[in-house]
Amino acid sequence: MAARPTAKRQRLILALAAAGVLAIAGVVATIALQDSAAYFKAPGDIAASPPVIGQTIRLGGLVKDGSVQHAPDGLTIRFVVMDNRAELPVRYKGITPDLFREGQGVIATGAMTAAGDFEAQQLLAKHDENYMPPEVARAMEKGGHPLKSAPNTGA
Amino acid sequence: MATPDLHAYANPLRFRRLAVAFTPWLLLAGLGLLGAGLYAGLFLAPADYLQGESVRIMYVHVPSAWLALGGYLGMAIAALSARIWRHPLADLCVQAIAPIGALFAGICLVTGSIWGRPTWGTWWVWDGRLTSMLLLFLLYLGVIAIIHLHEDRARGHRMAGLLAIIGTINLPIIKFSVEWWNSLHQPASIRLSGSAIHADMLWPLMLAALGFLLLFAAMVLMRMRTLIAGQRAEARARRLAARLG
Amino acid sequence: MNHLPFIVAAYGLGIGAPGAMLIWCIVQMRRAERRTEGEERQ
Repeated sequence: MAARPTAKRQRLILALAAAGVLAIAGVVATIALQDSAAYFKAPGDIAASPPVIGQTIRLGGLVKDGSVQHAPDGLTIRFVVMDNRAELPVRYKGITPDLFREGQGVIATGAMTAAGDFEAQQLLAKHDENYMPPEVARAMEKGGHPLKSAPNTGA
Repeated sequence: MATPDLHAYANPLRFRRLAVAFTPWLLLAGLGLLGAGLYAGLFLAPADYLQGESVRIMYVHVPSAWLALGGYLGMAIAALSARIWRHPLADLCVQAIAPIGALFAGICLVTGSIWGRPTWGTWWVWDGRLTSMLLLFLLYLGVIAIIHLHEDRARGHRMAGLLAIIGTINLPIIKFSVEWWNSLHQPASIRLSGSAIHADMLWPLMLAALGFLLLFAAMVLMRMRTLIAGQRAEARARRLAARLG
Repeated sequence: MNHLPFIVAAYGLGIGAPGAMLIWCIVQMRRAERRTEGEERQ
């Protein structure tokens, strides 16, 4: 019986050591993944290190207020995606998701063109973490509290 | 002769008595709260200013996510205490939680997908949050599989417990995936600093979450009772065999 | 886009799947406890 507490303590120390090693491994892995695990690049990232023209990437940011223009064909739209560092004009032909609107987040899959704008093949709407009834949103908008918070750019 | 038997059974039997007393109340309260929460989510809570009616999927999706994460943490703690203290119930607790946790992880993934289509415009993307949540579901399945894989029950529990403990690395990854990396999934709405969910939507969510939690607990207790009964039957069969042999 | 089918599907799963799991838990528990009780009475 006398030997049991030490055996127990040994197991506890072993388990704690294992937990510590695992925690460190987790932190190292996440730091290593930091770059490759990003789902999209913000306009600022693209301005800082321009991608190869024609290479498929994902662009994410806010649709700039007043920037959406519909082409006469009724399918093509042009708009500007921005973050707090840069802006990038985007062209997209297709049906936009319901939540696609000015001031809201968007993730576009496509590529940079030689002309310096972004040609999107797919649009996804990204919303923020705020949930509220419409009348509250209207009241806040009227009260001068814009609801558009910057999307999570991971920075 | 009788002493080791008594020692091994005293704890599970006392636990079983408690479980028998608590199960019906947990079940009753859980079903009541869940019913009220989901009713409020469907009919009393307002639509969202941006998403419209589809925001109601939150009342199923978010509690499932919380329970999948919390259940995993509970399972890993049970696995750890099985290794450290050799508590006779800890391995059974791992086995009891695993399928329930897997169920809620699955509900979280599927309802998230159903919610994603009308809001984001896609059923699925491989961003940090969705991918790490899928990994959680697979970890649950792995734990279940390993327990049943091994002919030797104790060995199966040991290996499954090890996977459960290692898998806890994934929990902070899920939690912070939306902050560390760019993701399609939005950051957390409910933080220590407050809630970004309007009060009219928050109370049905909390009601539903509490209901799901109590239901989760009731199901885990029932599975514990099932496993304890199974263990007793096995021990009895062994004793009979030993007597006859 | 009409959201109703999505909401119905999500609530159907959120109620149906735990409901099925609950019934399975109750059946398994009854079966296991009845068996041990029966054996111990022998």
